[in-house]
Amino acid sequence: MFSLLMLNKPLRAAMLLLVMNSGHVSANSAFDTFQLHGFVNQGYFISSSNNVYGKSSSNNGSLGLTEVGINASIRPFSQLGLAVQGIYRKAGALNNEAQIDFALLDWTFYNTGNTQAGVRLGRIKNPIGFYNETRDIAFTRTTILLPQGIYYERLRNLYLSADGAQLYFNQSTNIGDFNLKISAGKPLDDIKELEVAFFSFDAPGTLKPKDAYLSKLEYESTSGATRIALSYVDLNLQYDKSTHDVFDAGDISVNLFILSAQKSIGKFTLTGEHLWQESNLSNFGVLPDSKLLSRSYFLQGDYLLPHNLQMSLRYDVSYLNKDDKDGDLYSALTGRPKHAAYTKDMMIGLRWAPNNQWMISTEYHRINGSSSLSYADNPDTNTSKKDWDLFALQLSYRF
Amino acid sequence: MIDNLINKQFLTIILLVFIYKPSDLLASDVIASPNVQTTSLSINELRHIFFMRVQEWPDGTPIKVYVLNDSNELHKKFSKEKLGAFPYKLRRLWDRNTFSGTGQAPIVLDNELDMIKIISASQGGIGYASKTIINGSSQGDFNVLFIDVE
Repeated sequence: MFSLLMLNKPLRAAMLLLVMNSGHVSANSAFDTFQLHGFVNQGYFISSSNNVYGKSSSNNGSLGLTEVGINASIRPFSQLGLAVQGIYRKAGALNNEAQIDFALLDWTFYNTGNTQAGVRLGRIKNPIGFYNETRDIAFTRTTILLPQGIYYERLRNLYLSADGAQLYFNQSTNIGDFNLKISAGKPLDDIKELEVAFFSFDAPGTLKPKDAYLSKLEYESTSGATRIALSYVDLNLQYDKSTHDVFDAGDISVNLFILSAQKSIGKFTLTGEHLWQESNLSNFGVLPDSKLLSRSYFLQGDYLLPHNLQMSLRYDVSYLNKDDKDGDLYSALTGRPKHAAYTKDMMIGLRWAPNNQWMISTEYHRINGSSSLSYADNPDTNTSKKDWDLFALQLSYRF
Repeated sequence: MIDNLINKQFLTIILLVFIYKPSDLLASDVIASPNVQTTSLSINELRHIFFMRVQEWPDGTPIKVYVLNDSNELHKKFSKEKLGAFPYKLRRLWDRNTFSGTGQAPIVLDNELDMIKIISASQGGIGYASKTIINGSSQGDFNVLFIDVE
């Protein structure tokens, strides 16, 4: 209610200003700032066992990843921007939906060139790590699959965007640009993946996101060769119990901290991110109050080859519980295999972008562990394999 | 006779190389639409414009930013030498603006001649072109403003 009112006021003010100013600022010049962009992405996956985006472990593999997006933006006044993006996404049995990815009003209330400060209202992308804000666009994620320990595919909806407000502040200095974003909002609802991720089974009630507070501070050198970011997220979920439930109406609070760093030297770029995550489960009744400390990190090297080719190498590790890296405790408590408590992924990839519009990417993963697998595509965890290979191919277009 | 001819050609080539050094061929000028009132920009101000941080000229006219393709040699040279940024930084910035709803991106044109034509016909436009192309195109047909970068 509060956020709706906040949204409506500037919108109404903007409409009013637009009408009042129509004589002064011609409609033509406002429309001149209108921009339309979009993307289409099709992936193909084949794995030795375990499913990624559909039945990738079948003989023919899976064409289970299709992403289509279109966005429009306009700046009716230099201080005011409006932007909206719609996405259709089919991702195996996990997603098959069209949704509003962002729809926001951006008011830059202070701008001196060197300094900008402003507020965004509406549905806003969540600033988490280097890649979350543009995670669905093939051109902005460095590989077909983002490192799953940090950018969990299975919890995508929860991470994607939130309805609320964001304050931002940019400062450019002699050594580069500093950018701070602070968001508060309600994350998008997720499917039952959430419950499986936290309880290791599809609980009778529903786990719903309550609120999220996010902040990200990023530094980028003027040339762009050095980037450092710190992200902090405080996410709260609530369990709505069903009439005959094993659990009480409990709460889950997730706090995560990500350190991201990137350095480019000539044709070589090194990128690393480290995640520290603490999840607290409380008031679930039969389930004792518990704290889970998860860890994940990756290190990726990209090398630019002639003819717009790029080669990538990455090692990505994630542990659901840093004090139970082998999954002994996890297996004893849940009855699921030990390897569902961790993932170690070695990847080699090659991409070719002949121009700004088109890109073909391919990558091979050698994976040990199964914690990143989605429940939707792998309903029987006991048949999942510990060691597996994945090959992916992707064709992407944007305008 | 033949020796003479060869020598003449050789001399011409030498002369041409001196006149049109490769760096000259790719030296760029910042150009703007004829209605723009600004005649000089600091490097910082130029950056703010191409980084899409400022949206209007001092007189209130909206700024329209034009660039060439990421892989265009002149674009690479312009971003590195005039803006001090690698083309991948600009692309990353513009993509993040566009695909997270936090800003806009410049309009990408195919070639320098289009750049001169479109900027001379638009209001508040800014872009760049190589000196040789600008000198080669007839000033009567196209009317662009040259902006000094200090």
